Amino acid sequence: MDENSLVQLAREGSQEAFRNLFDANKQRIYALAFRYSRNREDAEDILQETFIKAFNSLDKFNAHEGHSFSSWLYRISINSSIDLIRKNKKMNWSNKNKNCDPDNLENISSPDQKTNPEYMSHIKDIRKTIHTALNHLTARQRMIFILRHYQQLSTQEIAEYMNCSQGSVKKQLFRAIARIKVHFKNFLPENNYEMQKV
Amino acid sequence: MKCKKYKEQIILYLYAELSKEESEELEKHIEQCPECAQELEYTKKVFGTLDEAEIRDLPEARWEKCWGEISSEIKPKSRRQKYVFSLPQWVPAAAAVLVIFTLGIIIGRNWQPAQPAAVAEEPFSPTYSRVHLQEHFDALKPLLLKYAGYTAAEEMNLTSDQKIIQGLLIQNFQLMRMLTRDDPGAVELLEDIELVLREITNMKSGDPLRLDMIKDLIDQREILYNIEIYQKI
Repeated sequence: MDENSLVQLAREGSQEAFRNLFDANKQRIYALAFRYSRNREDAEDILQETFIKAFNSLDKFNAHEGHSFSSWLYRISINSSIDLIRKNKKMNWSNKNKNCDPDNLENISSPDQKTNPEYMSHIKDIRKTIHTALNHLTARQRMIFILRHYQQLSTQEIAEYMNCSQGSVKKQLFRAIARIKVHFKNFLPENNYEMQKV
Repeated sequence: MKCKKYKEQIILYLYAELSKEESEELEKHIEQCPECAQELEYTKKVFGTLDEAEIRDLPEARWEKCWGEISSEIKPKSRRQKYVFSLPQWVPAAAAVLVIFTLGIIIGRNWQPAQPAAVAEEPFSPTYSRVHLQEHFDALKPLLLKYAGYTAAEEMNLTSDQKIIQGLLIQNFQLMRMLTRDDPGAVELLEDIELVLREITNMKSGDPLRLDMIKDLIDQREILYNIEIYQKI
């Protein structure tokens, strides 16, 4: 059954149809939420909130406006992620996540690397640096960076999803990366390059 | 100035978002400019490091638990919707038009034009948001002036400022939501303000480095200057 038919059935109250829509989209939404929050619990909260909001707003979704249900849902998940992290910031998010995923090394790809303590410590340091750097971005900068760098959307697509101009997306992206670079300076000194060039 | 443009283009170049002509122009510039060449190499290295620690295998979410939470939240709505949607879709719309039309006739016959009264501003209208934006800036300015170093240091009371900032952050967030569509410039300014407020929130007393960073942030982003401009518009 195609997406639009499932949406129509879900509007009529079919939980089974909505479950199918959930199954078809859960991985993509969860991937975004996890990369953005870097925290399993928050990612699950974002996933749930996205689908609850979507179900409650199904009447507003109009397939004829040229948007697919999946992209509409993705937009909701972007807003839910930003909202959740902004709420968490007020509860001192950085403290809440102190022992979260930078230290969680379960998801290293190669099993050989997992047995190499030096490599594991190196990855742990990088993740800590990324975590700190992301924590110093505004919610929007962080989302734009994640969407561009990890989710591999173009700046034009990001602008459409975030309802702003492409110029504004680029500006926020430059700022985000400039700030990330500042945090990487201790980890990856720029001087190496100057020395190599002399 | 020219290098600033190329330094920004380096990021788009690495994301393959430049046109062929723009890429060629940048490559030509990099051949002649050691500073931009170094910037390209360093950005590549940072990107490589970001990718090296990328989360490749996402942790398996507890899908059934998540679905359980979702389905328990959507049950009441589904029952209500079932009832509404069992009618043909045009019926509620036609009924609404009929009610509005009838009310229009009744009001049109009986209504006497009254003296114009003060019209309450509709929430989320551009004027409403602008009024709140001005109030928000008024509340922020003393705090920002203090952390930008324009007020005597002895007036600084970090704990009480951090309490005030909790409220300001909520207000800042609400304004960003209100203005997203109508005023992207204001949203960018509010984002910069959010960054400063967060830095102050995370600051510990007696941390001169963080204080310098906050001062730099306010200066570099020209936050006070941009607030002045917004207040004069």
